[in-house]
Amino acid sequence: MFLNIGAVRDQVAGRAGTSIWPDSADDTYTIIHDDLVIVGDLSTDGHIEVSGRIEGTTNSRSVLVREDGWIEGEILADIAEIRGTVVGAVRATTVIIGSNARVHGSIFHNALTIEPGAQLEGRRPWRPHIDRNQKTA
Amino acid sequence: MFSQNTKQTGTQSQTPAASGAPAPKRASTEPSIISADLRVVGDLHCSGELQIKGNVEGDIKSRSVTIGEGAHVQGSVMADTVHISGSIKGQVEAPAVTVARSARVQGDIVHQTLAVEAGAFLDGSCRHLDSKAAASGTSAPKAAPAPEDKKLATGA
Repeated sequence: MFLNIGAVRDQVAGRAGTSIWPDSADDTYTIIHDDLVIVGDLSTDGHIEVSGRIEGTTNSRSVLVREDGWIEGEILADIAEIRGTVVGAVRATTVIIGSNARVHGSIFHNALTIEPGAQLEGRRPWRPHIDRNQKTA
Repeated sequence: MFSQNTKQTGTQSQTPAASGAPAPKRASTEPSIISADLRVVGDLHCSGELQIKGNVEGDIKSRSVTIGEGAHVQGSVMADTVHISGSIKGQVEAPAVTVARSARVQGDIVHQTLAVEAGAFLDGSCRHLDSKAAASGTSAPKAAPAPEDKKLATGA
């Protein structure tokens, strides 16, 4: 059996009930470019796109860590797509791990997609329900 | 074996297109954006441009900072150019500072050139970067005003 990753991803996105990412002109769209370093915690009900570096917890509806992106800290989200580096736990209902991603930490998820080539270190336990606003141990 | 291989490479090459995420790296001339919805508790360091529309509790260091209307910053801002349309509680230090009508600044502004639009709320002192440097006993960080000083000295 061979899995078509694109199809799986679309299916996963459909289940989450979104058209994947919001419009970048949206008021709730945060962009952290590769020249920005944030040492601290971020929280929003919108989307965060990371090409830069965050040292701290991010709590958002959705997060996209691009190839250049680096997050050292916990990620809490409804949808998390990781194509860069994450050192810390990921807690999201839907998690998509890209082929160039490096994740050092556990991934708590309800639906997980991993593209071939990703470097993962840590447990990937399934959770029936993940509420990002209620931090659990 | 062979068929599996071809399938795999086929899928891999198809993956970026299927993922829908535009892979190309953005030019770093584009500003980083802290959206209106976002709250940052911590410090921001940026070698490029930074646009703040949300809430920041912490210090900001950047080449260029724009504090948009409706944005709240609690902390100091150090940059080359600062444009303020939102509210800030803390010191602003930059060679070029612009304060718009909608701005609310509670704190000192240390500047070389300052523009304030009528209607802006300013609560704090405005000092020149040179006088601040002279007061602290250190030489001015920017060499630009030095020739003028020399001219004045020789003239007097």
